[in-house]
Amino acid sequence: MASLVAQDYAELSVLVVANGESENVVARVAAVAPQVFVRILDENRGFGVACNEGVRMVDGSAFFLFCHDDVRLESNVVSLMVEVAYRTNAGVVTPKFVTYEDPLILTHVGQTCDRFGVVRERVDLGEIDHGQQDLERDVFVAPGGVTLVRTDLFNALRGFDPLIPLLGEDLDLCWRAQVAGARIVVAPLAKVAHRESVAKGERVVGAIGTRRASRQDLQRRHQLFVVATGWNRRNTILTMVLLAFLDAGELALSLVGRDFDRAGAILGAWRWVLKHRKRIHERRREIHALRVLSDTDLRRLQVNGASRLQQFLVKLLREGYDHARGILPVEPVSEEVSDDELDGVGFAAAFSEVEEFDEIPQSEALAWRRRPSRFLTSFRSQAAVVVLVGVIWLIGARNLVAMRLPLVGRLAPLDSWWSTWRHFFASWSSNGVGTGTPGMPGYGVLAFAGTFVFGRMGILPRAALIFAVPLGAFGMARLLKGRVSNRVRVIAAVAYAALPVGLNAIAQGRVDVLAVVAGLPFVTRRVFELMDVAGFRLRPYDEPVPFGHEGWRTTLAGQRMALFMLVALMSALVPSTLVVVGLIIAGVAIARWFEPDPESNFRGSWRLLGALAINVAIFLLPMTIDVIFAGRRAPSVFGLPRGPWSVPSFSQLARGVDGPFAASWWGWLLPATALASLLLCRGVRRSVATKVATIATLTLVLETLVERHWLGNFSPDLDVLMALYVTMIALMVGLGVSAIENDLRDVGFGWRQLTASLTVVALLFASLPFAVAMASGRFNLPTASVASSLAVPGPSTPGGYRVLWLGDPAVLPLPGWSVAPGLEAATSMNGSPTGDTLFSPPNSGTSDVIIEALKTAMQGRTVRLGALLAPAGISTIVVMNADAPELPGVQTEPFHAAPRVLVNALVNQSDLALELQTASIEVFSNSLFHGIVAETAPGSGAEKPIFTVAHNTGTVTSGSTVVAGLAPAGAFALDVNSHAVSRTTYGSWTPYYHVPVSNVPLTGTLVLHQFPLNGLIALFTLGMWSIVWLGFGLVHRLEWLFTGRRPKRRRARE
Amino acid sequence: MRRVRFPLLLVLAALVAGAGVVSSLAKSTNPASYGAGNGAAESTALYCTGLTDHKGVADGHVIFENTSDTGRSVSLRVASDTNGVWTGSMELAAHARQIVSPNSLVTGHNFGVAAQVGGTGVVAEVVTASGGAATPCLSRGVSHWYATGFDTVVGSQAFLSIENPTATPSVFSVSIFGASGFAAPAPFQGLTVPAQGEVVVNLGDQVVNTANFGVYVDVLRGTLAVTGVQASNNTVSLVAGATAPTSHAWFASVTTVNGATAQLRVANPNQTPASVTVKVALARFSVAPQTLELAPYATGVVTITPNPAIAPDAYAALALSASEGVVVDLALGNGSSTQLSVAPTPSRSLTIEDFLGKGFDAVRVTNVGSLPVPISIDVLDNGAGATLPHFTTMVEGGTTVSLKTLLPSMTSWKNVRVLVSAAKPVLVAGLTLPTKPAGDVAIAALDGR
Repeated sequence: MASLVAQDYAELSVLVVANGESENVVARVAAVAPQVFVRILDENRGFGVACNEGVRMVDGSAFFLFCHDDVRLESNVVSLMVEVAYRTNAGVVTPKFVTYEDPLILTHVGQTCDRFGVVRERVDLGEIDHGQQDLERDVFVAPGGVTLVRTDLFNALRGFDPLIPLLGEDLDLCWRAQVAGARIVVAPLAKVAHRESVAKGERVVGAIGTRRASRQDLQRRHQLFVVATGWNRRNTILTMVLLAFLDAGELALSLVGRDFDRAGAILGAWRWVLKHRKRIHERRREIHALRVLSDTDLRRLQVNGASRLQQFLVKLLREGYDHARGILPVEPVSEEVSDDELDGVGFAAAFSEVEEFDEIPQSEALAWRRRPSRFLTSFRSQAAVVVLVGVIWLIGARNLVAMRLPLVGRLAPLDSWWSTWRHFFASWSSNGVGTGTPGMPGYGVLAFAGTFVFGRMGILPRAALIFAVPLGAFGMARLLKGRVSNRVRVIAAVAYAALPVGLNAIAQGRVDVLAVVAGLPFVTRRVFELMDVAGFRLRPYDEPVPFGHEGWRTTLAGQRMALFMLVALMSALVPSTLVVVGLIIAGVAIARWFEPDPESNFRGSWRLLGALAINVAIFLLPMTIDVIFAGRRAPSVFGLPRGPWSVPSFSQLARGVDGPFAASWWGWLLPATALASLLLCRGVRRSVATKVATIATLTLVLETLVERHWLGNFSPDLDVLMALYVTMIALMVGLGVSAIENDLRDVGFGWRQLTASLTVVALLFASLPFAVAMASGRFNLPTASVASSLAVPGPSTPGGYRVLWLGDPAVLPLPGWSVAPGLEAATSMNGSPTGDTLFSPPNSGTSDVIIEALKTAMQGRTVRLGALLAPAGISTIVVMNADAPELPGVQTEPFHAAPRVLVNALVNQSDLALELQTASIEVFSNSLFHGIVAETAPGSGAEKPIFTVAHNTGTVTSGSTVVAGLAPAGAFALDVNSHAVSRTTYGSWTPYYHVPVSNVPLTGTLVLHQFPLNGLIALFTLGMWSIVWLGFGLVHRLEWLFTGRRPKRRRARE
Repeated sequence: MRRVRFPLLLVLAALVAGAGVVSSLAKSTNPASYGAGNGAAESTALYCTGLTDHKGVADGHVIFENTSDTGRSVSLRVASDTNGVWTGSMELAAHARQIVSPNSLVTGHNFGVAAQVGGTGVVAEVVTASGGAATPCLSRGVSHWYATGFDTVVGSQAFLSIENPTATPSVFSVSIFGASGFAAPAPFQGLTVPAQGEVVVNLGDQVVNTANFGVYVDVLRGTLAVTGVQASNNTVSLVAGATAPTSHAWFASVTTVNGATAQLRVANPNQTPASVTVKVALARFSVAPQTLELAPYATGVVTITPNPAIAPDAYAALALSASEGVVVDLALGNGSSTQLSVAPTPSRSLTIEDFLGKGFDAVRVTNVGSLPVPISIDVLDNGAGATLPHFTTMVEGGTTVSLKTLLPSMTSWKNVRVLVSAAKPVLVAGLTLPTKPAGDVAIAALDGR
């Protein structure tokens, strides 16, 4: 009141309207301003009604200045506002509002609103008044508190609406003023301090019609009321429908968040508006009579979009869900201004040598900007995201649970638990034309894993398909544990799951690649920890203790051994894992060479690599022996070269795409996000990011060299290399987000913020198509495969048969040997591939006869390939161009065509008949097939299949010659009536057995006569694994079994 | 303070860019051939077809010749269009020759002979009994077959003799193009040939009283050995055909003498028009290129002899180029009696054999490349003895040399084999029999390994 009295405007008359407040009002006013008029109303009907009453008492004034009772005006406010009103011909003038406590902090400089009546401030919360808003301009809303209104306009508008007692009366008046064509102008030089005691809840709302209504209720109902009457008919319908949708969404969110006040306000607003529909009709007529501005012009004065929704999303991103939905209040801005701060502001400070001076580090505005975003920071929201992603994943994998798995990739049905162990110990396996090389250790790993599912081996590939990617995502989160915030871990894990390698591996049935996808983050973590990459070793290693003692596991030696065993375990299933781990070590070492880590004490990267290779070789002794004896084929243990015409392009390699998933433009989003992290990271994060980028680059370069076949026989599986690449991409995404969290706040606005914004947008969009892959419920894994559609691809004759599978390594459903780039050859016995051909030794051995025969045919040097393959008992040749048939609307399969020269050669063979030809497959039958075991009767040149397939036994003809297509020739003997008969090879690889002449019926049996060397090697390997495993402290724990002494810890406990 | 040796990010960016550039280098295509390899052939095959029985127009035999220095075993299978089959084998001594008359081995009207050779070096030629027509046996089946120059006017007959050399039943379709455009007669669609069987497609059944038409055989399944047989005015032609249209063709020996007839019969099997230009190289005259515009699926003729624009000057060398792939056959003869022969494919090594025992009228070799190449010539008699010493000469790019000029004694050669080889596959040969007018019978080069 005193500030009003002190105004320098000479023509000012002051009327105080007491809204039902009779207690000493007159005396209180008189004490300050004796010349002021006082009007006391009988009851409190709100601010608007009080103003209307006041206006009725005044006559002859040109302007009305409506003031709240909690404002403090500077002495020139009225004169400035009147001057502006005259100068601009404004109908309504509003001053610049500042906080009551601190005149430096702006609260309002006019307001605007959207089409839904939601008011939006033109200043930021806590914005300091530097004069930056001191420009007269048109605004849409003059906020209540101090409002100058031209008298004729006020009368034309019929004053404030009595239905709006407070909280919204300013919006209503201004909206109608705008419709009537009046200007609303802000006079920024007129400065008013406003306490806003009602809005802040310091004062109880006690007007009639507001009982039991919260401020939120009043605000919402009045906004709705204004909107319902402010537009013409068409726009009213449109706006109300849109608002109904928005309110419905907000209602749902409120109910989910148990925010019942908000829910009640939303419902109450609509109920209140419906209740006053008659008044709405009247008001619409009144406003229609006033209308000067069209709706289009009115919209132009407002802001676009839905302010409330925008505010929700911004809060969601910056402050988290709980803040966004209003459960938690916005953290109050510190209002204390330190002396230091005051000292720092001034003329001299403008020449401060501190670089960050311009950023006003202590300012409230910057503090607001620097406050970390709370999106996804609470455990509840993180858990919600993890659960949501998990649920989405399980929905996407729903059909994998029970569907019949197709024979694609490495999904050949596993043999029984016992048979799988037997393959590990076996002295002979059926690969190719048969081999006596040691059983591949992958069988041992599978059989060991089968123990945990009680021998139900079919569960293993299904579990790999469903859980490998989630396990890898978990590994990614674990990899980043302690290095970044939990929010970043969640984002990186989701990014890892959304990257294409895992999904494409599922689509192609590559359970071997999935094993790498699942395990690689864990391996990466261990390597980084051992190599002391900054921030990855959370605690120092324990003091060395002897092997086998408790605590050895946490020593350096124990941790190294854990890595070796983990890599060996994965390499048993996927040997190229060793290459991948080598790339990680090499990448870190190379990055350190360029940018040395002074904080790291680790030396000896190459020693670590050597130790890894040697230890893995020892742990996988059977495979090592195979590799040693494989000669020039040894590098093929890591993978077979694919056709250069069918390998992924560089663009696909850079996206990590080898399959249908992420083949479009959005596949670039995550790699681009990863690249951005290199630009955003600073300090330790940058050091890690460069190492990760080096590993990714090395991988990409190696992939390119492999793709071009510039490394000869060394051709690691491209999909496995891609698994490493995407692991690094996900890691970089995590580091990038972490940089946004930490590094970005310390720098001024610039390209980094732009990059960060793009990164966030890219992350959001990158994860969306991830949901598209869920549609099939099987991640596009084919429902039918080419191989299984062949039913029984061979004759039902005795003697057994082999099927020769030919095609690009990317499509063949079993491992084999390379004939030429893009052409792999593999055989299966007596039908489709099964669990005995899951792994193929790199040493092709005698099976070279098949490979050489194929090469001869492709070089056009034979026309009787069938005759060359007949000794191996090959009845059928299957050439695959895709692993599954194309079924329109059901499955789309990528084609990896076999070399055309192969098909041309096979078609031109005089003894092969083309039985089936489709786009995805060509099947040839061998017209000279005679079974794997056949006999030539005396005097006959023809070979006739003999013996049962199951037991290799049957009757033989006296004096005949039996030939068996089983290598090595010396491994088998033919027992005729329990006596071994003589064997020759005639210079070939097949054994010929001469059946003696006899008058009695003869029964022959082919038996394996091999020293069980392979079994002993397998036993030694198993023993070694067991000993090292026991060395992780179990020996010490079990010591009492042998010595009778209890371990110290237990004794102490006792 | 961190010590930075070199900007790592720069190195990484360079590596990625390098990988991108390397990867974008010439893309590999799915190979249709891996080359001949280093080793000797384990087995080869020869497929001979086109012969008829005594009543047919192309009664004759197949002459097998072992050009290697070691004996070869040959497994034979003769099939007829009436499902008659005969199988047998024979041993061919080094440089020996063996005649097989399918007419005497199996009953039927048309015959196909499939020979499987244990090794390499055996060649074979189908020769009609009258001695006027010969065509080499094929070493592998084809998936596409083109030929042109056929006619079914009154007094002429044209048919395709088709043999399936593999164990796969084959399916094929025949389409025709000529003056009336493209035609795919329904009875010629989806025809089958049993595994290792023989069929005949009488073109006159569907193409009535038509001159100079082209034929396309599309093998839908398996492969086939196809020979076109054209009989006009008591002259029989065995047309080996081509596996694909070509935009370049060369003929080394085309007679231009008075009284002779020499025509290039060209067919355009494409949907777009084709412009054909024929350069005629004469020893003593310079001749303007002859041109021909061909509508889609049309046929046309470039007359070389008689042609007032081309002076009679013994043999001419022709080089044809076309804007689209076309099918070209050479018709040589006199008057209306002409014989068809196909455009030879440039090769590194040529075997020119006198199967008919009539000697050569002309052997001319063209270097179709643009650079000079040295060629070596060996002349062997049937007893493997060298009748002349090894001879080497340089042939300029785009020029033709006559063996008669180089080796004047050539006119007296009979029952000899001429081997011509060069370092690059740029040679085509033309050879004619001694006839009057001179050189109006062309002999196709041999196929065989």
